[in-house]
Amino acid sequence: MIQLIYLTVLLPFIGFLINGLFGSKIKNEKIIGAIGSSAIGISFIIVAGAFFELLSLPADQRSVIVTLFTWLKTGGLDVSVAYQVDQLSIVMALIVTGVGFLIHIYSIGYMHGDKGFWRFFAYLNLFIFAMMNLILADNFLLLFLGWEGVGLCSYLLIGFWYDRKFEKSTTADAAKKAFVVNRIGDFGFLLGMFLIFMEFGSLNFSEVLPAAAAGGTSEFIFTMIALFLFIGATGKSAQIPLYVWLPDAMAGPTPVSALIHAATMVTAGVYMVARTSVIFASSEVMMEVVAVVGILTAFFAATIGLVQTDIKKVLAYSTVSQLGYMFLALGVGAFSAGIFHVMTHAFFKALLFLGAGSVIHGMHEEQNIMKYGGLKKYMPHTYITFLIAAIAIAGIPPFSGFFSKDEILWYSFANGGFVFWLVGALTALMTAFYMFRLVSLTFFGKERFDHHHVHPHESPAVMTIPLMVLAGLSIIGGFIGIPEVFSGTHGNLFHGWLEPIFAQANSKLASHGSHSHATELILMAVSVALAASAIYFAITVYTKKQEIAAQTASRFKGMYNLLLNKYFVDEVYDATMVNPLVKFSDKFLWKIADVKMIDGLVNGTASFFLRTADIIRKMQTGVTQVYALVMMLGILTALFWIITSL
Amino acid sequence: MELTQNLHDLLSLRAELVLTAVILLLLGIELFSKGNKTLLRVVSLTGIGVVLILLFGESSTAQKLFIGSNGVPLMIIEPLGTFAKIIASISALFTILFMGINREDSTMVRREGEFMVLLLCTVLGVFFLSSSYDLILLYTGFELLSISSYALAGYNKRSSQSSEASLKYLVYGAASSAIMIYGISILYGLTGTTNIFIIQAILGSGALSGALLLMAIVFLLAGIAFKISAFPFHFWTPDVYEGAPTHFTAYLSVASKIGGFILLLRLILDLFFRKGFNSEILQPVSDLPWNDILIFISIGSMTIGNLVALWQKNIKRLLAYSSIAHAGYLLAGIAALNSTGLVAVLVYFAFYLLMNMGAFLVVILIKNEIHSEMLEDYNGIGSKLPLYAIALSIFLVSLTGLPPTAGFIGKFYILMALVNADLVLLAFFLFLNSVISLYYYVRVMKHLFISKPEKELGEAKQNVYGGVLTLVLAVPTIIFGIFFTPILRLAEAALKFYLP
Repeated sequence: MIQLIYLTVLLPFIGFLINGLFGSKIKNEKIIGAIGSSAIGISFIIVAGAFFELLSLPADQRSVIVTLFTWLKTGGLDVSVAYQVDQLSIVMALIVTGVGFLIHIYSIGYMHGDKGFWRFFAYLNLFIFAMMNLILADNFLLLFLGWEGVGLCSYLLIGFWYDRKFEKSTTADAAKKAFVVNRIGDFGFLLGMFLIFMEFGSLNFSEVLPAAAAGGTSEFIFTMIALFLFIGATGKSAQIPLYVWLPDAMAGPTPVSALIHAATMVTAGVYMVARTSVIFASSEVMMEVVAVVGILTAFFAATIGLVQTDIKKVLAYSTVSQLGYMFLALGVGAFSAGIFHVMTHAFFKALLFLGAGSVIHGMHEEQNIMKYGGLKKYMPHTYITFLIAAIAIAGIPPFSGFFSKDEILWYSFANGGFVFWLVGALTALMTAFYMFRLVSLTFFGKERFDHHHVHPHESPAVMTIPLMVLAGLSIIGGFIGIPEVFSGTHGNLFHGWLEPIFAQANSKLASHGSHSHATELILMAVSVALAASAIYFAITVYTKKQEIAAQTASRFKGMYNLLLNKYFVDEVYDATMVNPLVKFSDKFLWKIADVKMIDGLVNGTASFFLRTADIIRKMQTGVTQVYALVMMLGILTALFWIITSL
Repeated sequence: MELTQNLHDLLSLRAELVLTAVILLLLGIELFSKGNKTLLRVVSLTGIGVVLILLFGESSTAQKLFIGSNGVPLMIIEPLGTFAKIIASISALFTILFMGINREDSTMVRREGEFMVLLLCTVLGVFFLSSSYDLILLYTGFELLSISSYALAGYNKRSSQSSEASLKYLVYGAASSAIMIYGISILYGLTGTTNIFIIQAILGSGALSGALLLMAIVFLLAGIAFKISAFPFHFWTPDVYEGAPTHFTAYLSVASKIGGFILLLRLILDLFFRKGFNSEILQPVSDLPWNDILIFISIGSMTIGNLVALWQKNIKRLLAYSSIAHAGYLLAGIAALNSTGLVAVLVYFAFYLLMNMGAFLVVILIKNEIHSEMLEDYNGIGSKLPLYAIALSIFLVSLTGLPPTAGFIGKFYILMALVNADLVLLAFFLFLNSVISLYYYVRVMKHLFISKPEKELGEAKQNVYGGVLTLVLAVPTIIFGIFFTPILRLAEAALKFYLP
């Protein structure tokens, strides 16, 4: 199965071609949906087969490179289209195809009746194609191809309903914002890639990473490479300061938010840092930077999430916050914990988004949670699964989120220090709070919607079954990563699985002092207690005593407004960066540089060539004698020239 | 003993023998079956198919044939020559396929046999150009290619333009041939031999130099420059391309060019330069300003070709000038005189076959529908004949050298060879010329898709046969833009006896 891994890239592409080229002719939603979903479903089966084949191999042979063809070979650059199947990429591939398949199925129900149904599935398949390239690539260039590809699909899907209004502008504007912000990150990634090629003379992981591990490169170079790569990661994975596009990305259809803007694409940055962990581990400064950016993003995004009233916005900020956790994990050297959280997060966050989609679907496109309430009895399946996801993200054992989040918190205490742990734990508390605020306002309490116009209903089975599967995964998904303190001699299975990938990075990091199991248990108990009390508090306030929330909001009016307006970051960016740039490009770049200088130059050059050509073409008289004359002149000139140069 | 050896060697020329047999067979069919169209087509296409199979079979072998008493061979079958033969055969194959759809002149159909015989004679000419190592034999191949071409250019008897093209081609070609044979005779006078290995040895010993040798070389180059329509011997190109039946123009633009280029490569690699590579750069056997001459012709061809193309209103003339420009690009690859440049030239040629043949095919198909080859009549074709219009755009984009098409890869490799050889000025000219060419290629697309037709277009529809043929050329043009390694390997294999 490993040798067939290229099919997992090819099949989605074929699906994209079929639906993209003939979708408008096929028209039948069932056929389009079946083509789109089966492409991903079969890919998932192949990935799963490859996973078990990998399991059967001895641990030191679990990295197989499947080369398709040489892509570029010029001078020192030798890049193949080749896919690397190893412990890390197979985990990512399982998530992408597995969760992707469920979301494809769900979309058949969610997008039912949309005029762009075929376009939607074509884009989704194209996205999976690009994403699989990204995670399976065995070199930076192919990874970058996938990186840009997912960015393109993200753009296309955010603006999928390009004719709809979104907040103050249009979905097209939201798409544009995502695209532009990502360009900044991509530019960083490109610079990082150039530096890598300059330093190591190759772009293949199998050459660059061992060379980086072997040392011989100054720490400054490592810091620069890691910095540029990390800028790329902050763009794609929505970290400070480039996170601003992700909340706006919610303009896209909800399955897109679940697939691209929660479960898979936004974790690409985490994956990339994990893949190049040995480069990051070689730079102490950058490890600090990653950890600090991660924890700050986690904390601030969580505070914003506390007061948002749009159901998808809450989830969007929650995603930004959870991504921050993952970077925190990477920054404190707990690489496998970061990837573990990528996985569990993919389960419960995809579930939350799909659940939100189900609610939005049942509430006639209403997204304001203040206009929900008491939906429990109308949508029992959605409610149960949503609740499971909320418990998972809040970190209540034995749900999956508990294991991954707690591992991160533990490592940030052990490797980072008490402050990291404290901020992380506070974030966990806020997470539990805003999630159950959401649950309470949506499913509990009084029904605040207009009964005459809104008739809540449960979604069809094609939508709820994926919810249930994801709910199952959210419950049990954490068991593969039971920490050593519970599992004893077996150790952490997930950790052990990824161990060979991060061995070189770990050996570069200074060994940290060991802490006793007792400390670990105490910290664990504290964070669970915090989360549990936050849940209790949130349910009480938002189902029974809403006035407390209102009072608090009015008492801390300044703070509340600050949070509601997301710290005015968008406004600050607009005022300091966007508007001056727009003015500059309008007044100078366009009206002077472009119109006067460049256009003038181009038009001038063009007319120069046209006029020259007009003279030359007169030689072509059609008279053979003239041709012969010019020919003879040519020979004579050549002879004269050569003989004089003797 | 020698006779049996020679007979044995003759039988080794399998592709040539089969081709000759097919030519004779076609003549017979033409005579005795009153030009049975189906039979002619089946025989000619199968014949070329067999030749191609034989060529691919021997594409990596080398064999010296007709070794004389002086120990040097008259002909050698080797991969580079075989590469040229394959290109010529494939273009002949497409030309015969194109002929079936060309409706320029109804009387042409009745004389298909004639056309095929002459066409295959030109292919045979290229075959001899590709394998011969004796100047006389090379010249014979050259003339076989040329004389058949003169007749083919005037094949469209009813059109005065076609006759004019033929006559001009003949007069001009005869003049060039005369100059070339003059050069050959000078070389013979200087060295006493026509075998290029012996001449190379004499040149290498340093016994020869001076103005007479230089004159011989310039005269030889003049003949080649005529064949590949390079500046300043390009004047015949637009007139002939415009007047000749379009499917033959397509053939002329590719097969005739490969004939000229294989001769140039042969002379450079086996006569005027030291055998093989000491370093990355080829070493000339005697001090000659090779670089300068090639660079001069190259820059001249691409600049003249592209500039004059800007003004063309007839698509065939436009493509003629574009073909002059492409001769310049290809010459630039040779002017690099390094291994990357040689590989690049072959890669470019393989792609050039696809995109140029494709462009002319669409010209034929559109002319069948609208009976015009003027750009202003192309207005609105995009909505009427979308497949043709899109395919033509793909070919033109590829000719410009933009990604993701094959043309980009070809141009990229040539540019890289130039940079490797420190010929930055030439690289700059090549780049500048590509920008200029973008203008006129895009102008065609503007007519196809944006300009509104002045009068209502008549009945026009795409036929299946034409559509399939278009796709056969267009799809690889895209695919090779991304996945080009096989062609690269092919080109490297073709040069395996020359590369370091």
